Amino acid sequence: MSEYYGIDVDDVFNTMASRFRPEGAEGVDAVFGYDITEKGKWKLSVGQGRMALDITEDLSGCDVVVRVDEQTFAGIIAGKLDAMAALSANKMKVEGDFNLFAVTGKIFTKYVPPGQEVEPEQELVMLKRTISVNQRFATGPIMGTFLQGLKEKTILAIKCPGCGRLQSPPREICAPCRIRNDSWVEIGPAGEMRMLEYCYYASPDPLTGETRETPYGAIGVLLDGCKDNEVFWHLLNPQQLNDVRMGMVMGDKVVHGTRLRPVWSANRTGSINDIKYFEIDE
Amino acid sequence: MGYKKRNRHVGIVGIGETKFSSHREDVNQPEMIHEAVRGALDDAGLTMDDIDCVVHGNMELFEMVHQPDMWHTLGTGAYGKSAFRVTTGGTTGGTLVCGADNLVASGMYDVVLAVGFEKLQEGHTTGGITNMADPLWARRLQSGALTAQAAVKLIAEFGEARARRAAMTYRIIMDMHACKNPNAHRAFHLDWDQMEDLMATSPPLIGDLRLIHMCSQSDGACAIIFASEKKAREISGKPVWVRDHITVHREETLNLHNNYYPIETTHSFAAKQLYGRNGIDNPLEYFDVFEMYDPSAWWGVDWLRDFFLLEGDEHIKMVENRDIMIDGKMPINPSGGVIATNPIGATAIIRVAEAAKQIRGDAGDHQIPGNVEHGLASSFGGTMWTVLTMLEKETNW
Repeated sequence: MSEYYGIDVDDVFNTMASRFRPEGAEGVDAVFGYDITEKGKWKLSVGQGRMALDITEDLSGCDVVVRVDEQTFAGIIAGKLDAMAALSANKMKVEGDFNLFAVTGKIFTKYVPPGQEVEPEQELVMLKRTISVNQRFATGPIMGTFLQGLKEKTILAIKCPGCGRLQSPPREICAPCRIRNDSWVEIGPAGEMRMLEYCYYASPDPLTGETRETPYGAIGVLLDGCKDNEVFWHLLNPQQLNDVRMGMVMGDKVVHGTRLRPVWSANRTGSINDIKYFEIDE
Repeated sequence: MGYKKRNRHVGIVGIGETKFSSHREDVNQPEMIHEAVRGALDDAGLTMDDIDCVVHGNMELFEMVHQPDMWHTLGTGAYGKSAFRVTTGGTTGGTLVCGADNLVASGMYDVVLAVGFEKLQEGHTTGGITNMADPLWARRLQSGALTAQAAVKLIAEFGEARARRAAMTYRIIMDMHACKNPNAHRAFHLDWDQMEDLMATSPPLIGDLRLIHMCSQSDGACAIIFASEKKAREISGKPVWVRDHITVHREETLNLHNNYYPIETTHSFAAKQLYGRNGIDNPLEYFDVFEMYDPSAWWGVDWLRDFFLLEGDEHIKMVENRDIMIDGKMPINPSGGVIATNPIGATAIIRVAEAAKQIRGDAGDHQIPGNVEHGLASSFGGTMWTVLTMLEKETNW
């Protein structure tokens, strides 16, 4: 028994039955002869999705016969030598239907010598997926009116006929009063900063899937014309994060925050992005 | 608020928790849930044949598996049984308890299994929470559940040094508790000499909210079995009774950006209603344990005031005096709380499970020394919503 490239040629033939792929042999009806110099001769018959292999001295009746030395054959099986190069170098000869010989690659799974098997793939315990879904949200007439206002550089609030509370962005109903809001008031556009969420954490923007650039400032602005907790939620110019102070009402104690004004986008489409951010107005 | 007394008493007869951790990659969702369900059944000495109805809950935004109750039938044991699904964000676990309690108290079912779970590792927590916001406005602005609001408020009211120390004291106490709880996810063995260092070096998330202050992202599940009084006394030698629960919602817009105080929070509103209708004048005196849904150390400190209806700096003093420690006057989160362990859909039911274990007296290393008869558990979620649950050792109220 001799080995080249870690391959014993006998094993290549002995494992043919287990490597046979009926789906790859579909439509193939042929007899292949293998003449391995000083090793032996094999006759492979393929037809009707089946195969038969015989060790023989007689390769007559084969549609194609390959004559090759043991080392070259092992090298081709191992993927170390190129079959076409071997043919050119006259190390291998093919007699008969040359094209038929090329079919054998489909009929068998690749031979892997014992001990050289690739580890079977690990069982899948984690599946990573990125899901993209296009969504469209209806604004409804109330939010639609407000967004339309932004196109005209106007910030609108809706007013509760009961308690007089202003909401911007507007809602159809004043929840505590359980009554329909019924009138519009123009507020701001400038105002006083209340809360600053000075964000260091790079959270994802679910509208784009992109990670937000940090640091950024999400702010509550008490726009002119509003009172108490009627703040407007937007962003601060990220260049001015360290230059602002928060306003606060703590019972009788009142601290006024930095004056801010909106910076409008040139191209306004009726969205939150119509205001780029607020910036210092002092 | 309309309210009717319960139709019949309901007892907790079985409790099951998984080990909580950042990655439960060794099990899939139904397998993980099964661990908690099996634990609760074993604890009660029951089999699935004894369960009439299953209530299942988590927050779908995180794993992006919709109607997970179908997949999880294999883990919950709901096959062939009545089953309900609850998903109310952070309060899910509390609402699970409300739902299961109502199903038994009403007489509809005698034995109900409630199970909450989350595998936050399989999704993106902050992305998921941000997705709950109004898509036309707030989604562009919200950063999950991260906010410095409580820090800004406490610093404005009590000064930077005192507020920061109070938050870090709260944090270290919670970690000390977590170190006693073998199921806790994060237990760092923090100690008092690390106070200054942690305040200065823990990475900031938002303003004064630092990583060390914030709750974890955990995987895990928790199951509780509820039974009618007659059944509960047959099943368990020490059932824990659900006395009352309350749920309070508010508008869908967040009210974190105002710096306008005082405001009535859903926490204080719920607490007033609950104590009022149960004749509890001094909650601090009455309760022996409080398992609070404390998403951060800052909120933990701030919310003590809301839940116990305190005034001035009483809540700060509770922390400074370490009254909230496991052997203190008012033990808060002997389990380590939410900062240690936060599988969101399970988090609030864990609060009830942990308070019930304290009342049973079998919480193990994190058992409060002394008699525990009256327990309170809170849930938090949505746009500042509250669920409160009262538990009792006896039915003599």
